[in-house]
Amino acid sequence: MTKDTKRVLLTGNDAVVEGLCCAAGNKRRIVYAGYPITPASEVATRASVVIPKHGGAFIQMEDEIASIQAIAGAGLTGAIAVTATSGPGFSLMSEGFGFAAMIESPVVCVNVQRGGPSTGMPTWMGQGDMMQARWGTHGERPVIVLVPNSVQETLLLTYESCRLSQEYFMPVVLMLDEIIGHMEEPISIPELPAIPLDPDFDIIGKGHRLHRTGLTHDLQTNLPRINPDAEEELVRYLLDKVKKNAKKIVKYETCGDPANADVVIICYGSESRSVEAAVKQARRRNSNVAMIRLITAWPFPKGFLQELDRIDRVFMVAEINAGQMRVEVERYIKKGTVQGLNLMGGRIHTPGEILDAIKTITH
Amino acid sequence: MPNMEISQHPYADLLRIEMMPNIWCSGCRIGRVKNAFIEAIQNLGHNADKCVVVAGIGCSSRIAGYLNLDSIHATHGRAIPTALGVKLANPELIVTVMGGDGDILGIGGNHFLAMGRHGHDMNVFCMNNYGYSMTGFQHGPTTPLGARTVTTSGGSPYVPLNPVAVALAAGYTFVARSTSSHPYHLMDCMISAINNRGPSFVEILIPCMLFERRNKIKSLEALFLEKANIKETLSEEDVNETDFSKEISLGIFRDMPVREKSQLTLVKPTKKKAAKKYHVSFKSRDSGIKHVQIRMEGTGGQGIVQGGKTLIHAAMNMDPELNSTMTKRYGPEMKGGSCLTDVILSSQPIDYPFVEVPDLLLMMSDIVSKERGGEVVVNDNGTIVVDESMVDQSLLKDVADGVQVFKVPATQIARDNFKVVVANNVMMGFVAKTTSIIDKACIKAAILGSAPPGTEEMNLAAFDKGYEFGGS
Ligand code: SF4
Repeated sequence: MTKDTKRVLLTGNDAVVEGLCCAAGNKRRIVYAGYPITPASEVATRASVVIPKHGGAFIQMEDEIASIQAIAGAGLTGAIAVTATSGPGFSLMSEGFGFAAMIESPVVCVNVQRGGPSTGMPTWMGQGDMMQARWGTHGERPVIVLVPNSVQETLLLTYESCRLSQEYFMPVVLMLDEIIGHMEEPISIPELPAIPLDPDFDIIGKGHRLHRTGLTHDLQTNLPRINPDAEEELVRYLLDKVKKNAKKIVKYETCGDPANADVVIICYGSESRSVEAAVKQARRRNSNVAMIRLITAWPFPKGFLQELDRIDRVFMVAEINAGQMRVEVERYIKKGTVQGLNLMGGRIHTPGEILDAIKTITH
Repeated sequence: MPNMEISQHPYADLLRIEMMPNIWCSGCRIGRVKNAFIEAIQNLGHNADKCVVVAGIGCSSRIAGYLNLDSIHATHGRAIPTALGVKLANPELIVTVMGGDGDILGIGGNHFLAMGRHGHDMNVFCMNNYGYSMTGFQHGPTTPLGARTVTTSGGSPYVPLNPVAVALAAGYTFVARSTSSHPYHLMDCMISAINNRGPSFVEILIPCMLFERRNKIKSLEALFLEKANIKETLSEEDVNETDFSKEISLGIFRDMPVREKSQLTLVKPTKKKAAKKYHVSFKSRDSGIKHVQIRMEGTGGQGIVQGGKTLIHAAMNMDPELNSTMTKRYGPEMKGGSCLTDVILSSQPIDYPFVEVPDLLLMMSDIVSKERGGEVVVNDNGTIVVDESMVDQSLLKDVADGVQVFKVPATQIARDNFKVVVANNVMMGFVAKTTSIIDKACIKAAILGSAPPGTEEMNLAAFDKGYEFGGS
């Protein structure tokens, strides 16, 4: 961050729009297509004012299916293509994600998570869409999911989502939750370089006479080629975008020393703010506890966890769902014991509740 | 005709030769529609590099793969929004959606309606063959009443949708009907559609040979040729088409310029006041604040969230280096439910962003504490400020001795002097006077920063009234 950045008070939802403007700079056109839904509506409200002023296009679509499809088309035409939604809308977008991944359109979807399932709790937080973000499409597709835990980080990860989508030509999901989306914090608007359009990426409207199809297709010509060999080549190629670059993409943050702690708490999003408060307090009381905060939920930092898994100790996964990321942790922690600390939604744990959970382990 | 190299074919530039032969049944009429489209583009003389075709799923949607244009073969029903994304990303492009009745009017019906409203310069060419062909001849949105299909074996009980009528109602600026059996007429319709600067729709009646065979339906092509009547001008009666006993009117139903933005007559005329410039100057300083937790609670509609915003902005005015967070909790209803907002000010980075035990509690109503069973949560050495016109005072009898309690009839003052909606700012004025957490001028500047134009004076006056009430 440069020093001449000025501090402003923004909500997480506001910060998404500022992040988009950073990503586009004065070089790229933003196309934002969305449908109003609590608690993500403020992203659209701000986008409808800011993005046209920024030389981009804002459109309120007829539903979330239309929104994801529109940005899939826009991404292929060279735009920074974005939508924002919450649980029910995110469900409707499932097919569109697969389509965007299949036609390799760089798009960003912001999901401001609320309590679910179904209509659930529109104005209260949840983290129940983590596995949906990973798997919620028929067939298999590459997945990058980022999870900010502050307003400042929301801006930075919005920019990063745009960058990753444009680097790997695939959809990237930014998972906020209602707390992060609605909370206000003072942040700095950094000066970041506009994300360039890869000159090797052929876009629509430049005389390439491209064809892009949701059908299984040939990797060279992009024309339909429907047989087991073509499927093998295509799907592996799509999945490899993330698999082969996972080390580069994975991001996490630690507090304390996870390599030597007696208890390691794994968390993400707004819940991590309680965990961090609790871990700092516990460490002040000489309790040997550490935190790992996922910044990319997907790809998951499996290598890091495998390195940590040398002795039997407790890995506690604190999250606001019935244990979605815990399942993933259990895949890599074999010597250690994995346990969950869960609430079903509406609120995060208080630091006190997390300290109590730590005490029951350390005593 | 002498033997000809494929590259010499008059459509060679616009066909993807490598995709031939196409998948269509021999004798399928979709190829004619494709040719009409190619001729329309050639006749218009448009740069084919700027022409984009987007299609969904179905026999006719496969056109996208055979045209040597920038083309997207999207998901079922979603060609229109996908095409709109392309258009928004590059408004110079000529964007055309092609597909069948099931794709565009059935699964994609909502997008078809919305496209008329959105008003972008795009074309929808919809091939209506009265059912789903690719999936095995089920009935679709336009299947005639009584027609047998594999999913209506006793005859369709559903009243068919009339695509032209819907397009007219949805606000398309160009609406026409043609058939695959009238290729020159079809091409003319396509040319006019592309020339129209708004959303254009052409319904193309087209037979599906297999559909007819499987469902034992008469030859539609023969019907089209027998009943079709190309007309220069069309009347309302011509919109009707589904009754094959009468003539089928072909032609242009509407070709009009893009609608101008109309004056919104619903907007209440407001007297334009001379824009008075308000200004509150304040000094920033090192606040010395270590860690303060403030909670404002009350009923939705009392400006609780706005109050929280005022406090956090005021704190930022006073000490730009301070760390702060503001969170809120409220139910799905905008008014009447419980609502609270938490503001934390700290010299250290703030982890947990909710107030656990407030140092300063501002109670605009007692709904939150009543929901908590009457409990009033505040720090033992903290301060409570209550709106005594709204809070049941008996709730305060159990608070710890160290707690300072201030009372202000904020809502009453607001109602008597201004409007109830500024009660939150009466509260702010009173708080500025009775506590010393945030400087008065910094709060006033924050109020000014968020007051809707025209209400600055009232909001600032409300603040001043509350401040006065706090004593001199
Ligand atoms: S099934 Fe019907 S519409 Fe489809 S290709 Fe065959 S004739 Fe044409």
